[in-house]
Amino acid sequence: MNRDIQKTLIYIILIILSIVWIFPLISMLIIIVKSPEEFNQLHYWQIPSLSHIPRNLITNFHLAWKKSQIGKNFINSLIYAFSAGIGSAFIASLAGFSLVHLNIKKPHIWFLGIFIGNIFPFQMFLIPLYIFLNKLGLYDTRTGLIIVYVGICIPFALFVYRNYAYTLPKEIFDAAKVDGASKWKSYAKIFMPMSKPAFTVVFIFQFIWTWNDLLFGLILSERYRPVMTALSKLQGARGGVPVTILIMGALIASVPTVVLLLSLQKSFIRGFTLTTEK
Amino acid sequence: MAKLRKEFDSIFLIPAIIFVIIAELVPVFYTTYLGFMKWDIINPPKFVGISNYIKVFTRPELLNALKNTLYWVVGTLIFAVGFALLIAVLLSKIKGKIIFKSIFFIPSTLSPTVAAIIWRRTLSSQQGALPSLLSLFGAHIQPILTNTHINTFVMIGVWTWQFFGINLILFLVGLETIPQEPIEAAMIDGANQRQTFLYITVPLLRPIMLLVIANSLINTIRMFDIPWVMIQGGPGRASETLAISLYRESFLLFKMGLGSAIAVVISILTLLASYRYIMILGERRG
Repeated sequence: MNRDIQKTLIYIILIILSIVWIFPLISMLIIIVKSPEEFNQLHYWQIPSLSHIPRNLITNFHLAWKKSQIGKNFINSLIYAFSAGIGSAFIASLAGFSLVHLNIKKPHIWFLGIFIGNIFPFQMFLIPLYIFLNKLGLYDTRTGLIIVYVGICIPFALFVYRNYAYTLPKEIFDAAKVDGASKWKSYAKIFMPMSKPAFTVVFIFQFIWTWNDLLFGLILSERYRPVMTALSKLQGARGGVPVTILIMGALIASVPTVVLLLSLQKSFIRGFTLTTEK
Repeated sequence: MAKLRKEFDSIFLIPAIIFVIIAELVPVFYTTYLGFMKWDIINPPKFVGISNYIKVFTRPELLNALKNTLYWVVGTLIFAVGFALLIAVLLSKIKGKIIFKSIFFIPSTLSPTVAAIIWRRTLSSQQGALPSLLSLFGAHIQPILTNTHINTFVMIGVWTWQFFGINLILFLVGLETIPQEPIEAAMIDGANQRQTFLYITVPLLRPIMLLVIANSLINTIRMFDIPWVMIQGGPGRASETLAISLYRESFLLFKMGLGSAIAVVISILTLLASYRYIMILGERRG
């Protein structure tokens, strides 16, 4: 009996929490089904006539994508996030492979030398990167932002690849060597295909991190803004857009990470717990 | 010849090293150097000793940012971490875990910028979802985000809404790997629920706890996105965190020296807070 009361109580707490968790999401749906005028005229929780909804959704989408240029920034962010995810994974896989399976003196020191980049909060890099990119003429260019994003992503990517490389038996690489395979060949033909799980973890983490970045975009770009930075500018006092368009923009900007995380949640969580394993 | 081949191996490392030197190592030294300078970008930097650091710890708006950052660190530990652990323990006892887990995880798939935009709209006194809903029942609430007594705590709530789900799942992963025998043995020996939780479950959860706590500390000492997008650290500079002060001083007021000193302070706080975690990550192995 006592246990039943306890269980019921737990369910009540969880259901209340769930309502709080979902409430803002539902309330955003109420916004995007309205036109800017309807949003101003109707009570917040009043839904417009059903026949208006498809048209409102399309208009809001169109205005957000084209007029507010979320589309352009969405493409920028796709370029940045794919470059950071794939670029950092590739560079870190080379390094991770060599630190574990090649003859590098003091691999531990080299690892720490690279991993140290992950120890500092990235605020520590902001001002110098702003100055460097300006000096090099790379301020507000895609190239500049890609270099920064890849650079910031490498330490964690190396951490994942190095951990993974330790789980691959040395004998495979020794055997390949005996058979006359070059280092590049054992990297490309053995290590690369075998380290797919490491790639998945690195790619998800770095894609999401880059996609969600606000601060680097704010400081290093104007015309080539990533999507989150552009979105944050849409709600300001200056350059603010109607709420329905802003929220539609936020929805568009969320699609990639939502899809990635819901489909690869396991690998994502695995990436976190990696650091607790020895 | 053999030596040559050995050195050739380091070619694999070179790209990673170049990127890290450019994007991280040189900037760390440069920021540290600038922390001792007065520099507006246009005129040449001038050495000013530790006066930037004195400003960080004496100027009212920067002390306030330090205080707000501390609120963020403690507040998120209590809510996004402590509360997540509590709910994880409750969830592990019931059926239908997966449904609640999924609901709580949804906000984690959004970016902090989007979370901030959503909650700003939800709480807004002009056509905000929550005030409008309450007004249907005749209740009228004061503006929330511009109230300097509560806005930092409200934003800590937004962060909790966002990252609670990830922490919850991590704790559940941890709880699942705990063997049942010691808990049963303790129960047989007469330990109550609270005792078994404190003395058996918590110690066995240590690796996961360390991860979640370190992550929380690292991410909140440098908190920027949510308070910036929700209210630009305002009203005025009331809800500024150190990271927002850094941004404002360096990129809006062009005080690069002071901004760098704030960056160094953020780094030192982060290093102190995550020292143990870093030692574990950097461990020699193989």
